[in-house]
Amino acid sequence: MSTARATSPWAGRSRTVQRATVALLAANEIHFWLDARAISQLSQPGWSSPALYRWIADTPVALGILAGLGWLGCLGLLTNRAALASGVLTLAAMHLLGEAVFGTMATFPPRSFLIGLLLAGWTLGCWLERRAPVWRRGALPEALAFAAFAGGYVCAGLAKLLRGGLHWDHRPIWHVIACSAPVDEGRGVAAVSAAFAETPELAAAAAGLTMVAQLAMVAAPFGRRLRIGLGLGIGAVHMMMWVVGGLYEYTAVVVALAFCLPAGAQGREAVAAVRAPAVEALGKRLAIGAAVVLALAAVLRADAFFATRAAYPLHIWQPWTHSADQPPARAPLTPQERDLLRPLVEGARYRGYTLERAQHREDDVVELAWRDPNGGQIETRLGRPDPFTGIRGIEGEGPPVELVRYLVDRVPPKPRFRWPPADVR
Amino acid sequence: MQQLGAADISLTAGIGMCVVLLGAAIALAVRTWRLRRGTTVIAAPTAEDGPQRAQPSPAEPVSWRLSLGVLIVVVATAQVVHHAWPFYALDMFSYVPTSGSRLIVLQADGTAREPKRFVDYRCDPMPTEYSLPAPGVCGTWTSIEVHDRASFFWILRHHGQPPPGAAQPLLLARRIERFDAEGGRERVDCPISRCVAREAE
Repeated sequence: MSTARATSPWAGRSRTVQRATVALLAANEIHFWLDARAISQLSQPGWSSPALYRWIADTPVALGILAGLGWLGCLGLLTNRAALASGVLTLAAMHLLGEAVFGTMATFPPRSFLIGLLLAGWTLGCWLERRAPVWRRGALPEALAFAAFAGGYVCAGLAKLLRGGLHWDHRPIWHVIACSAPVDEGRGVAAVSAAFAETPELAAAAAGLTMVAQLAMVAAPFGRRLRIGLGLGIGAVHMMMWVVGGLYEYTAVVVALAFCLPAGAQGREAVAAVRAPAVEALGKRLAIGAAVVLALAAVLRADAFFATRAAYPLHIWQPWTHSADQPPARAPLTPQERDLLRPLVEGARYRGYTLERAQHREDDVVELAWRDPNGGQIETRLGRPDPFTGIRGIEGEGPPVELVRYLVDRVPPKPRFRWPPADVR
Repeated sequence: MQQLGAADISLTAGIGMCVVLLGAAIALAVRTWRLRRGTTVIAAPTAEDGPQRAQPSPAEPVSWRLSLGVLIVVVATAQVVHHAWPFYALDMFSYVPTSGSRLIVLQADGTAREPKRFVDYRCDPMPTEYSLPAPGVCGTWTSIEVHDRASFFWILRHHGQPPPGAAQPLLLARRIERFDAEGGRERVDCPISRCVAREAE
């Protein structure tokens, strides 16, 4: 597995900085996935996914082991030991962990996928480099990692073009400002944000720039200079969104710095220069020790986060994203829809749970808010586009299994179910 | 949201494809030009390459075809599966919204502050879900859910009894902004709950 230790043929420089970037971003993402449980409450994963994911989500030990394996792989990448095996291990562990954990989150974090693409491209590059004749070995891990990463941005740009298209104007930026720009930030940041909020042309330019920068990433494979320009451009867009809208996203900035900046060459040389044999030997021992500690911590931490989950065996929720053509808007139900929902009307009680509110979350999603016997609130959702019911309770409380079962009985899991049914849409 | 007609969608899709293809064509042309000029630096041989390594030709393509292939596979797979880690269509901010909202607290003088600037919240009634207030009270609105959740759970986690001298009256509200294509905008602060809290240090 020593192939990936080969230095980059771009002037024979070490790829330490890029490798460390991939490893650390992936390791941090695993930590985030476990930590996100703290705010994602008790939503139940339930995609129409294999039972394996549901089992993982319900088994703290499995979550902990996967996190530990993922971190172990990251450590291998970081220390450049068995780079290909480490990449595959991290990818596999993160796939299982991610698919299980995203079901418990309110929304998909886009960053998680971009980091996944970066890691997948890197691993593919390591594998291909092993198979390539020596004279053809190039900067494949770096190139393919950045190409896959760029592919994610092309997806984002395409989605904007195809969904927003001709109407892509100042409103997306105003939406971000209205939703997330801090209202009491310091004068400088507030002034920049206000300038974009008060000038539609400026906001439209920023929105257009975002889409163009994302679409332009399609040219990333065609040369190092293009890669530098496009990577820095995407990083600049994210910095702009941070200042203007408070939407903080660091991944692209880090990747742009590590993979694109010409200055990275000097950094790589500096890092490579300190790798004396004694330092490497010490690093190996420290790495093994750290791996053991991390694996144990992962099991313990996952157990703490997921301990309550085992009691709730039903999984009928599909992760919800802002991916619909319609933004997530709340609206009252129509009388026709209310008829369909009967006997689920406001004030109805079921085993101590009182339905407080029934409303649209999006056009094809109905959100039901219940008051539980202890005064907490539970939220359920119906519709869109596969059958799912989201169960979420206030922190520290469990979802009411009997309520879930009641709703499951009302919402046939198969065949595909849409809310409202087609004949009343 | 402004509805897109079928003609709009097909036109937009056509323009989009043209933009992507044009970008690819330009990049390809630049690449070819650079290769013909022989300015593309491939690699200097390294010690690990051993004696069998051939001297690289200045025009030798390293990995751009492979990179382009990976990029295309990523985009195509994401369109097909929508989301299956690590693939994702990344379409979460692709709609054109007509409103945006967030949770704020209003001080007695009407100043809007972030909920996270205060601790020891005591509210009447205690907010029970970030989605309040219900539609119909303040119309429909959109938000970025993760921010709403962060503010809501901050208040839940920091509920308590503020010291009498430090307690400030606050109004927890959803600030809703609606905007149209012409640049018009309207702001509404929709009250949720009256609270007292202490400013965080």
